[in-house]
Parts: sequence; structure tokens; C-alpha cells
Amino acid sequence: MAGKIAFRIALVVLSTAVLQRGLFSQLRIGGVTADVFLLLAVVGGLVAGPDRGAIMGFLSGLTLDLLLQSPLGLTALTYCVVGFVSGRYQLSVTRSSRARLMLSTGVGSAMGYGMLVVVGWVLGQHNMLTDRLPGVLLVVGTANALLAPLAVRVLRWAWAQPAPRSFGMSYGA
Amino acid sequence: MAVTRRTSRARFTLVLLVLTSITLLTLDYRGFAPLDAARSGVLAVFSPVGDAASGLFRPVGDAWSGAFDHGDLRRENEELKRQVNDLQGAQTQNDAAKLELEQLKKSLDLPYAGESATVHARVVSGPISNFDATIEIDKGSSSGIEKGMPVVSGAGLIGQVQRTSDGRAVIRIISDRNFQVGVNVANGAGRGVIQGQGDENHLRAGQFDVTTELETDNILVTSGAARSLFPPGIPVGTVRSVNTDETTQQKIADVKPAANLNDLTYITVIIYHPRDE
Repeated sequence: MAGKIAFRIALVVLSTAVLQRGLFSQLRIGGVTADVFLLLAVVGGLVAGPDRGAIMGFLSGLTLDLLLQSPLGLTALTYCVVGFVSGRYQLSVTRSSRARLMLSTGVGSAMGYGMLVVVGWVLGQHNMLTDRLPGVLLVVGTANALLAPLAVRVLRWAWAQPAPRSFGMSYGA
Repeated sequence: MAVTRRTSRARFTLVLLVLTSITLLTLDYRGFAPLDAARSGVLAVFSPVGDAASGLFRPVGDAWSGAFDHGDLRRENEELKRQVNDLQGAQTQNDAAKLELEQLKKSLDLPYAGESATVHARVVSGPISNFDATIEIDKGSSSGIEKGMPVVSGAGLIGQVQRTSDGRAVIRIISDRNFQVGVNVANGAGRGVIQGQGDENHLRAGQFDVTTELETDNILVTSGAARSLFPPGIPVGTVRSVNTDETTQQKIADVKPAANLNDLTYITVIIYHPRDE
């Protein structure tokens, strides 16, 4: 079972890399694109809890680091914390809905991106802090919120999480 | 009890992953060679798959651009028509100036970029994420491209080779805030440094001595000082405005890049090795 899950997680992360490079990097609003790696981290925490969220965030962040010129480990460090915090937040949720899922993902993505900028700044990546940051956070948050329901289904399948009996008890557990 | 165990396991996982990330960061900052090799390996393996995906989704991207960038395209079209008219008028004048420049270069014996070998390449991928200021080209180390080599278009400097694999190279473009290049005014006056600002339309030139005659519309070119990774004379940008920093007694300029960094399709890598003196 563990091997099957590992295979599915690897498949999801690689597919995300292909989609980010092949599709989402072309779909820009005001020069800003969605960040589906961050989506994996946020929704991973919401669906599977803090420990799996942290793992999902680390793997997706590390993959993005390998594809970019950013310091190796910068995005992995940030996104694993984002996944963990999302998972902790999910534990405190007693009632949820699709709208709440999307709102949580949107806010979580914007905060996660903001955290990436702060950590990047501390590590000397000053190019991340620009005038257009508010626009970037808005577009990334909105795009990830819209993609959240699809991501929940994919990650529930990847982690072999049973679907909730009725919509509304929790995002995935 | 189960909740407590789950929470402590989650914290243990987080600490482990954070420590792993910090280790990777430390190794990367120290220039640990296997990490560079791993990145080049990922570039070599992932690029063909990424290209296929880009090709597959290009119609979607084109439709998206058509829907959201229609106004921009119309403005760009009008601007291009105006530029064509201007260029036609200036062509004759440029031919004469080119002959004069070549004669001047010969007399000064400068190691100008035009005398170095070049590799022409196609841009196959733009920035992947929002903080990424890199592009990927379809030529790599097998074509003689090495890390650090300058990359230009017909209009001027675009960036510098950051990473290579056998058939691919990643270029850091000059808008990156970590990018710096030494420049002087095209007539040879002064010396300064141009730095990216994270914006494709703005660069910042600084460290010009306060006595330098730096004015609006001056063209800044690479200075090509000893051991510089850039040959001298490559146009970098045009000065938009100049201010004087009274504290440091230096002139600072807002610069428009010479090359259009928003629309890169074909570029040229200069096979240039720095001079020792």
C-alpha cells in the first residue's frame, strides 16, 4: 500500500510540474500565473493533515526548486511549512463546504506566497519583493482557489483517502 | 492519546523536512557540485516532456492570450507599424554609420562581440513561476555554450547563461534583481553598474561618479573590463532619467532595456571567454 501511495504521489508531483511548465505558465493574467505546486501544499494539508501536508509541500517545493534558479531548498522549506499549517488549520475545522475550501485555499496560497517572499528576502533573493507583489498574491490566491476542488479529488486519490460520506464534514478525512 | 501521537508525529515530520531543506540550502550556497549536476540532469530529462506539454497546450495559451491581451496586441501592432516606418527611414543612415563603426573598431582593435563565435537558439520556455526571471533555449553544452556566457538579441543584452545540459541552457535575464553588469556611456564616458529591478521594462544604473556626463537618451553599453564575463560594447539600455544621490555623490539612472525582454523568440549566445587583462 505504501509503495502504491508513493507511486501516486510521484505521479501527481511530476504531472504538476508538466502542467505548470506546459500549461499554467502560458495562462497569465497581468503577467502572473497560478502556482499549482503551492496548491498541492495547501490542499495536501487540508486533505491529509499536517504531516502529509508537510511532505506534499516539501516534495512539490523541491521539484520547483530543481526546475528554477532559486536556491535549492528555499521553496521546499516554505511549502512544507505551508502544508503543515494548512493541515493544522484543517484539524480545527468542524464544518466545511466547497466555498470554505476554496476560501481557505485562496487565503492559504496568498499567505504561503507571502511567506516565500519573506524567506527569500532573508536569504538574499531580493527579486521576489516587487511593486507587483499584491497583484501576484491576488492572482495566485484566486487561481488556486478555483483549482482547489479538482486538487482535493486528485490528492484524495493519491493518498488513498476515502471520500467523505456527505459533503461538509471535512475536506478529506 | 491518538490525537497527541498524531500531532507529535506531524511535528517530527516537519522538523525533519525543515532540517533537510536547510541542509540543501547550505550545500547550494556553498556551491556543492552534485546539486548543480542534479539540476542539469533534471533539465535534460524534463525538457523534452515540458516541450511536448507546451506544444500540446499552446492553442490553449494562444486562445487565453487572445482573450485577455487583445488590447495589448492592438497597441503593440500600432507601435510596431510606427517603428517599421521609423526604421525604413533610418536604414540608409545606419548603413553609413555601420561602415564607419567597423572602420573604427578595426583601428582600435577591440575584442567586440561581433568577432566572437556565436550560437543562435530558439527560446523554448519562458519563466515557469512568478519570481522566475529565466528562459530556456534549445541549445546547450554540445553547441559550446558554457555557464556565464553572455546572451544577446539584435537589439542588445538579454542575459547570461546560468545552467547547461547537453542540449539545453537556462538563461538568467537582465531584469532579475540579482543580475549586475558593468557599463559605460556609449561615447566612453564614465563607468557604472546596471542592475535588474524585477521588471522587464526598467533597469537601474548606479555607481556613476557625480562628475560623469550622464544624460537622458544616453545609450549604456557593457564596459568589458578585465575579467568581465561580458565583452565590451553590447548595448544594455537607454537612460530615461538621471538623479544624483547627494549622500554617496553618485549618479543613478532609470534605464530602458535595449532588448524587448517581454517577447523573446530567438536569441544569440556569444561564445566569449573573459580577457585576463
